Amino acid sequence: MMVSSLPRVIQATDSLSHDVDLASNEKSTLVLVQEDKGTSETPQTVSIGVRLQAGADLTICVISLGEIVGSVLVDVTFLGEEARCDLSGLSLVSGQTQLKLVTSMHHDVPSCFSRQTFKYVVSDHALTEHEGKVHVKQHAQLTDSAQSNQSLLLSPNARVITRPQLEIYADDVKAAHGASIGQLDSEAIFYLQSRGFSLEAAKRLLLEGFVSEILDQLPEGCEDVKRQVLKRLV
Amino acid sequence: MLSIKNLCVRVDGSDILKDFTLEIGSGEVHAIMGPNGAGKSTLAKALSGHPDYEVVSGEVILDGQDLLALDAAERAQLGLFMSFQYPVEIPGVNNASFLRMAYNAKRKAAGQAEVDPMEFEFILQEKLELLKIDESFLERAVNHGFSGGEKKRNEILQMAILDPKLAILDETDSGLDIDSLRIVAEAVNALRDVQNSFLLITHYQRLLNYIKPDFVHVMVDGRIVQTGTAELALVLEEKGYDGF
Repeated sequence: MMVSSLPRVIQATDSLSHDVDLASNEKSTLVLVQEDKGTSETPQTVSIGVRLQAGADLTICVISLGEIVGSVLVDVTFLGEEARCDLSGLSLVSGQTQLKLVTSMHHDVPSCFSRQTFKYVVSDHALTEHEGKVHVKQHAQLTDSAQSNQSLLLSPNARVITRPQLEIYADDVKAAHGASIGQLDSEAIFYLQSRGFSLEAAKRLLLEGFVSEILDQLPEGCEDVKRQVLKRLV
Repeated sequence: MLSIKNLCVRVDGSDILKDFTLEIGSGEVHAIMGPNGAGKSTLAKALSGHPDYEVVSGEVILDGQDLLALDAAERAQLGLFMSFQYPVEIPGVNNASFLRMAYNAKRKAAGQAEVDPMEFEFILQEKLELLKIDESFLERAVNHGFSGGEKKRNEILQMAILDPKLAILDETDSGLDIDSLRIVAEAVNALRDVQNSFLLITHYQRLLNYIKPDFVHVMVDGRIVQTGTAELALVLEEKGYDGF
C-alpha cells in the first residue's frame, strides 16, 4: 500500500484538462478550485478524467466560487475491483453565473464504491445545472454507489437544475440518489436571532453549517482553501 | 421588570391575544396555564419578537425599555430568553461554538469585551456542572439528532450561559419523561435568584411540583381570566379549564 501524499490543490486559472491515473492501492486527494472565472465569450472548461485500478482510493473535491461561466466535467472509470472514489463539490455562486457540472461514475468492474456529494448556494441571477451519472455494467456486481445534491437558493432569480441519472445493468448493487432544493429555514433564522445573533450573523452561521459537510471532509493541507470558501460566505 | 399592557397580537389575520395584561417583578416566577388555543405560545413568540406575530396594539416594557421597538436579536441582547417548545436543529454548527458566539453577541451589545474560546471554556464548564450536563453535548451540532429531552436540556444550557433577566419557558415540560422533567426543573431552580424572573407556560400542573411559582395565571381566549398562587394550579388539575 502506498502512503497517502498531501492533497493536490489546483487553482484553475484557465480552462484545463487533467488526468488522474491511480495504480493498484494508490491513494490520493485532488482539490480543484475555480473562483470568478469565465465569461459568455470565453467560458472556462475544466475536464478531469480519472482511471482507478484495483484498490485505488481517490478523493476529489470541486469548489466553485463567485461568478463562474463554464462547465466542469468529471469522468471516473473503475478498472479494478475494490476501488473507491469520493467525489464532492461545493458551489457558492452569484452574479450571472452559468455553471454546468457533468459527473460520471463508470462502474465497469465489480465491488467498487462511489460517492457524489454536492452542495450549492446560489444567489443573484446565478444558474447551476448538474448531471450526475452512474453507469453500472452488467458484470459490475456489488457496486456501492450514492449521490446527493442539496441546494439553497438565496434569491428569487437564482436557479438550480439537478438531474441524477442512473443506468444500471447489474442486479446486485446499491445505488442511492437524492436531491433537495430549498431556502434558508426562517424558523432557524428566528431561533438564532432569539439567541442574540443579528439577521446577517444568523444567515451566515446557517450557511457555514450547510457547507461544513463538504469542508470538514477536506484533508489536512486544505486550510487555505477552507479560508477561501468561508470568505465568500459574507 | 416586565410590564405587559393591553397587548393585542394577530397571527395569520386572526386576533389571538386580546388586551393581554401582566406584570412580573424581579425574582418572581409566574406560570401561565390554559387550554389548547388559549394563546400561550403566541404570547411567548410575540414577546421574543417572531416576525409572523403582528403586534396590533399594547405596550411591553422590559427593565424600562420598549421591547416592541426592538428586533428579536436586540431583545435577546437586552436579557430576554425564550426556551422553545420545539428547538430547531442546526446541522453543521458546533454547539460549543454556537454558545460562545451567542454569549459574545450579548457581551458586545452591552459594550463588554468578547471572551476567547479558552476563557469561555471555564464559563461553560461551570454551567455544565451546575446543570449536570455531559460534556459530549458540546461536541455535537446544535440540537442535531438530539432526543426531545436533550433538546430541552440544551435550551436550559443556553439559558444558563446567556443569564437572562427574564426567561420564558414555552411548554418546556411537553414531551419530557418524568426523569428529564426533574432534571430540567432542578436546573431552572439552580438558576433562580432575586435578579432574574421566569415565565413558565404549561398545560399541566406536573411541572409546578418541581418549580414552585409565586403566581399562577389562567389564560383563556387570549387573556388572563384568573390569577392566584401555586394552589390555583392544583385546583385546575382537579377541575380542568371548563369553568372558565
